[in-house]
Amino acid sequence: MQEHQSIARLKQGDIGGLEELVRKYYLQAVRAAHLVVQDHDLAEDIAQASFIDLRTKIRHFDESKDFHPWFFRSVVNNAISVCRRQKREITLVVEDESGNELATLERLSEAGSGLEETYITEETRQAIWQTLKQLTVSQRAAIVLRYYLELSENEITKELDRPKSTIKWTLFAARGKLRQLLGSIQAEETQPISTEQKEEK
Amino acid sequence: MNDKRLKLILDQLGEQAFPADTDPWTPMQELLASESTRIKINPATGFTTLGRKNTLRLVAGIGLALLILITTLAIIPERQALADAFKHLFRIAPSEQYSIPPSYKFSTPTFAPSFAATLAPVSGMAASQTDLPTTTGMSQSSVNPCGIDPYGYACRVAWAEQRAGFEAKEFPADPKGFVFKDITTVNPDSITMEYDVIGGGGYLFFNQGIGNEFPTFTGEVPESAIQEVQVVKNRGEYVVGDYVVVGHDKVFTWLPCCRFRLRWMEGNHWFELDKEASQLTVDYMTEDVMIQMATELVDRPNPVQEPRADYLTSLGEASQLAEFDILSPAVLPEGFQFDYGKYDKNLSQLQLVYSPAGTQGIADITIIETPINKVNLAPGDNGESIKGEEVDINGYNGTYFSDSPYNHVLTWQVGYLKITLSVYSSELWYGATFTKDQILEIARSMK
Repeated sequence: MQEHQSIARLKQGDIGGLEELVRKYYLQAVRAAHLVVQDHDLAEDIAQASFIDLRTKIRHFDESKDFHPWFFRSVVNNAISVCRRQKREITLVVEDESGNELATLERLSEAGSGLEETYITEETRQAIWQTLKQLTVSQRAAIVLRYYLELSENEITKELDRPKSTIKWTLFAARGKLRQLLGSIQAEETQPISTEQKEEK
Repeated sequence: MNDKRLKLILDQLGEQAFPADTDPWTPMQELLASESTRIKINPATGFTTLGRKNTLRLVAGIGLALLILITTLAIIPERQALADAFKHLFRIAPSEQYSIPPSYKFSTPTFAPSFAATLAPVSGMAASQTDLPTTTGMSQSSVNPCGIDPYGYACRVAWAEQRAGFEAKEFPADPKGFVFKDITTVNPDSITMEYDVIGGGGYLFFNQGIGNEFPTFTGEVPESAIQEVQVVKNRGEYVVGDYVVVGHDKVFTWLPCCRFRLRWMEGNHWFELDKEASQLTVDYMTEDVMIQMATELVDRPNPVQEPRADYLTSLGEASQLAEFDILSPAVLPEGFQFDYGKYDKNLSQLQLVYSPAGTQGIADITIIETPINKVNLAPGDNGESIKGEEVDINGYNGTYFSDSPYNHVLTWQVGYLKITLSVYSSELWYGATFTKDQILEIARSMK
């Protein structure tokens, strides 16, 4: 089924239209959310909520426009909102049985790691992951939109609800911080690729 | 690292967390099934498998039925209260307690590892006399706000107004105790201005938008929590509390604490002030203060040119306001930097706060400087020092007290100035430990 047909069906209230869109975009949505919120379970919640919302929001979608950037606006914005919400979760301080303070607070946590080896080392991936954690939510969102979802700066301007100049600056700052934090790893990566690595490639 | 390589790494990170064989549709179906009963009674969601014509008939039918019901209830005196429920500015929750949905997952808190702090010299510590005060107000309408500062408050407000399509109300300046943080228009036709509590511990969200009802994203409250209030000439509602999970409970319980919300309408313009705490122990707000904040809103604030005494952004500003020569440390724990200062003119008391970036409220060094002859002005301060161990600070007697490596207090007198230095590090969330010698070294470096 073509994407525009799925959208048309969903606009008519046909759940089959949603199923097609979920099957096509869920993985990208949950991975994008995961890169922003850096929490496996939250990413799933965000992706699912974005598709649930889609049932109503689809009525406002202009079919002459591209669906992909329009939809991922809600995914990334939802992720940003969740991050902000997480940050201001109420902390409850109560006494546990041992008398120690027990603070319950929802925080971002790291995702599980895969084992697949490619010519990009696990160390590099983890360094990127850790570096992403050190960026602000807006910077992470900008990185995800620009380099993971490969949206143009014009599209990001709409998605992140910021002037283009701010997006440029955010991307610049995010890239700068990535470069700074990854300096040593970059140096390693610029070394000639070994025969084994070439074979893997 | 080029863009393609970064894209590849991000792809791999995504695949690691969510492999391609993930079945996306089954959990979605379960979610949709669990929501279906709720959706059935809420045609406004627009989700139904009925045909479009039937859906419209259903919406029209339910709308008409509601109109008749409200009208009927409103003209029967004993049912007036029930009818009023339809007019609430807050959505009404059915209960003060409800079960945690199975799909709701709690993350495990990640506590900071403990580590021993190390000291480092402060770079550029001299108080600058050339620091300019922060301008938090809106500039004159004849001046392009983005021409003055494209990343400043005024430009961001102008941008948000353009995005949302209406002129926003604003505080004449940052409310006392808060500092502007961000402005967003994430939700259609609405603007959210976000403020941090100075020193950390809470947030203030000023939401506003166009429409006849409040958006649904701000949740529900029990009807018993709603207080009718007056905001200028408009009816408003004030609510204290939030749904929280206490300890290991399996339910959300309404807790009348630590979140304060005020809502009101002006024509078709809705407003909400939402003050939230990040920790129960450090929060405050009153109905009167919140209403006063609402009353003082303006269409276009004048630029604020003078330094804020309750939020000094540099040692230079502190020097300008303090009526004595201020002292500041030449060494600090690594990562700590000047955060903000406060000056109380009535008490002649200066407060300098240093903290690691982004850790307000969980790690800080607070230095309070007061002329000896003004010490008694502070409420509850009879001029006595804390009880503790006697120490020497560059030839002056001081008193040092600590009950753990995470908490230290030191007070001493330098000539005409009484200084109190306190070091706090949250064991759970920051983890840095300090030694007595380090505290003394910081104190001895002050000049």
